[in-house]
Amino acid sequence: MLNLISFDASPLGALGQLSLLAALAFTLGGTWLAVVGGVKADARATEAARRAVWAVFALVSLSILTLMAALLGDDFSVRYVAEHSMRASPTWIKVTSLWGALEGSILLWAWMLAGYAFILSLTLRRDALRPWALAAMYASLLFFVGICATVASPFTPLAQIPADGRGPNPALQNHWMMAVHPVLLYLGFVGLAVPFAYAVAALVTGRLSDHWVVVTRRWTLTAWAFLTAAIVAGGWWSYETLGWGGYWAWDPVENASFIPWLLATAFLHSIQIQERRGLMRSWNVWLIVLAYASTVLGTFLNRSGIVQSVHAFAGGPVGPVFLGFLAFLLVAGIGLAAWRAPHLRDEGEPPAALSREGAFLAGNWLFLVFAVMVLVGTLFPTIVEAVQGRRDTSVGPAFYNAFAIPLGLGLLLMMGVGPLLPWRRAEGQGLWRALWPLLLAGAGAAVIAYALGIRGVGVLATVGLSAYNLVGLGLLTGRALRQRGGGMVGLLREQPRRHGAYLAHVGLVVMALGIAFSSAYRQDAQVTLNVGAAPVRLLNETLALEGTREERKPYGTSAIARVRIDGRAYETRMNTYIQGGDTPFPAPAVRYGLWGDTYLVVTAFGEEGRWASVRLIESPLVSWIWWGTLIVVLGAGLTLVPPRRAPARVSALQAAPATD
Amino acid sequence: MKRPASSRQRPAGARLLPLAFSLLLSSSLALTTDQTLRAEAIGDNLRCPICTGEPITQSTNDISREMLRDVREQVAAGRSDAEIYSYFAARYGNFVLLDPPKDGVGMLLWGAPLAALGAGGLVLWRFLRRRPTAAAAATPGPEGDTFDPYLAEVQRRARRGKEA
Repeated sequence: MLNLISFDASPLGALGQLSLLAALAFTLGGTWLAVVGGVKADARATEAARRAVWAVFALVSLSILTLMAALLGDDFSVRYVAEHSMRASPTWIKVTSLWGALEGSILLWAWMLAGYAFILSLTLRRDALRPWALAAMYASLLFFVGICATVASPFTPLAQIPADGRGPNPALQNHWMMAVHPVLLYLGFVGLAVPFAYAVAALVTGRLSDHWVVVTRRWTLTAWAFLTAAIVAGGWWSYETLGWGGYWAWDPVENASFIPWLLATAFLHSIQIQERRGLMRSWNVWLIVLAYASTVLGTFLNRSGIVQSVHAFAGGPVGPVFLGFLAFLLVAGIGLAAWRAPHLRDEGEPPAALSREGAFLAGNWLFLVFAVMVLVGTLFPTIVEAVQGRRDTSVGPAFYNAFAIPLGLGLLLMMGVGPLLPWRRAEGQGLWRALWPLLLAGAGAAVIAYALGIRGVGVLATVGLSAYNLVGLGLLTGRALRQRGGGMVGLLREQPRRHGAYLAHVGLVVMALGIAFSSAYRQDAQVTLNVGAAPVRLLNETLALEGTREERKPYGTSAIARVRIDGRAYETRMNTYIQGGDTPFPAPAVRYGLWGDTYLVVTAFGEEGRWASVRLIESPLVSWIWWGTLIVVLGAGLTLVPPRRAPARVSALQAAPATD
Repeated sequence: MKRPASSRQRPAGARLLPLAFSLLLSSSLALTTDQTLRAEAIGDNLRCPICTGEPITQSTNDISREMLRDVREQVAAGRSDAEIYSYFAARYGNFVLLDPPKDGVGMLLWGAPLAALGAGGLVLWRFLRRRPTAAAAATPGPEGDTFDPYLAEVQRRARRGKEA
């Protein structure tokens, strides 16, 4: 029997554990009330279920605040604090320790889920989907609050209270991004629970028309924007801490966050077909079930330790529980969808190939193949190990890039043509007239890039497709401006959704250019420098080691090399943390530039700091990835702004071939 | 397959000297620029046997240094990529091949995305080419969202109006 509470040993731990158990009780009650409200169409039960969400949110908030107070107050009678924090850490590390290990991160997840459920309970419309959407949210809550309160409780009593904690994971003390990336990622993952809950409600009630899609659009977009920002923030984090000058290594856990993004992006586009044309109903249900299940799969991979990854937490009892929940989600989702399959038929004629729908579907096809590719690559070594009994395969970037580059280029191609095409059906001639400036611009840009000395096929194609996309979006915006008259601001306020999407596409183009150039033209060289010796020529820079020094902090040591590169000083560190033994954690010095970054990392120090080995990495356009993401998120944010009513102008409506 | 992991891991304190040594060695090994690039490309596809998923070109431990030096020597000796990969696979196991070979079990891996592409393409093509009559014949669900057939018709028209 699990020993959950001890009042004597830890008052704070008991408070946290009690509030979690109370939250679990309210979750159970709420689930029951929501189901009763759904089955008996009892508005009072539904209302009670809705209010029970508030109690759940309040209680989970109380427990997470308790844990935060324990962390900040160094209360080592609380298990999680004893195991993952210590007195000497700076305050921001203590704060981030909340999600720096398994139990805390699941508690954060549960809290965010409760928060989303709380917001949903305030905005929920009074419709037939209401009780079942609540019930589905409760099902997710039941799982997360349930494991927080039991197998993964951060508050279970300790046999002995230590004088100081074991301290946080050394790899997670290195950079402030630790405060940003996991929070964003969970906001993205958890946000997909809401459209999932609505899809389940639509399936249960059989009200499968397009209502649920319209209701959840904002939720999906918000989750998607968080997910996008989180994935790139994770890339930035690895760029700033892992010391190899890269931002994406196709690591299993990176992949696990990327698969939901691919599926959510496909979903964002295909729900527009349902919204506009009432088509793809069953497809959308499948997509959101898969997208939500893939977030749980990602967590399972991350937490169970079945895949080898730099990010994985140590295994524990939580792995099988997550696998069970994943199986439950898939079985329940697929079962419901199969049961309702006869009702999921589309009304109206199927989409034509040459139409906005056709382009969206072709994009969906590529997104799904992409997701399948990443999933297969991630799980393949584990599957082979399960079958053969030994770990005998690795899947590295060579495999992923072989598919990701053509698929990414294909997506860029569809991204340009989609907004040009009208809904329903495009005339071949009209399409050609709309398309040729784009193709011309793309070919022209590729030729210019070739003339400037770029030879990589992938980079040339990216440059061409970027120009093609930008010209397409520019022409569409220019036409909208001419038809409407007035300025850009007015246009944005009238059609935030369309132009937000355009802006997000522009951001993706900027990102694509950054990814293509930084991976194709990255230069990397190593050298050993002596203090005070003559400057050394490396890549396009001159390097001189000005000095080395050591900084001792209570929680670790930093060895610092001060290197002058072309007249500018760089201080690159090698940190060791007291929990990490001798394992060095590099902290590179990066000079960000619009056209390229100079990245210096120290790999070894000589005796008494007389020499240091450094690695110099120069990669062009890396910062375009970060700026591009900012543009994407701004664009996604713009699509959420409610449009201002336009003065009635019938002619403009008819003249515009491309609609939202 | 025994991984050479634990047996070859040396305490981290001993990392500095071999590093300097290997740097010395690698610089003494004269490779042309093309050969250096080739050795790096091969190194990118070889996994450091004792790390989590890092190629030997990124990892800084001794075994990776040794392997990288081995790669450079073999490139200098004029061996082909395939020969070098099979040399390392024989020594450390297929585990170190980050670019999984396209044979045996690897066919499943490399074939899966292609199969998904093909199957998905076929489904999409058939869906987009479906004749309108087939869909029109499909009966709408008995309990649609709207109980009122007039309301349903209005919604359908409104949707059509939006598309125009």
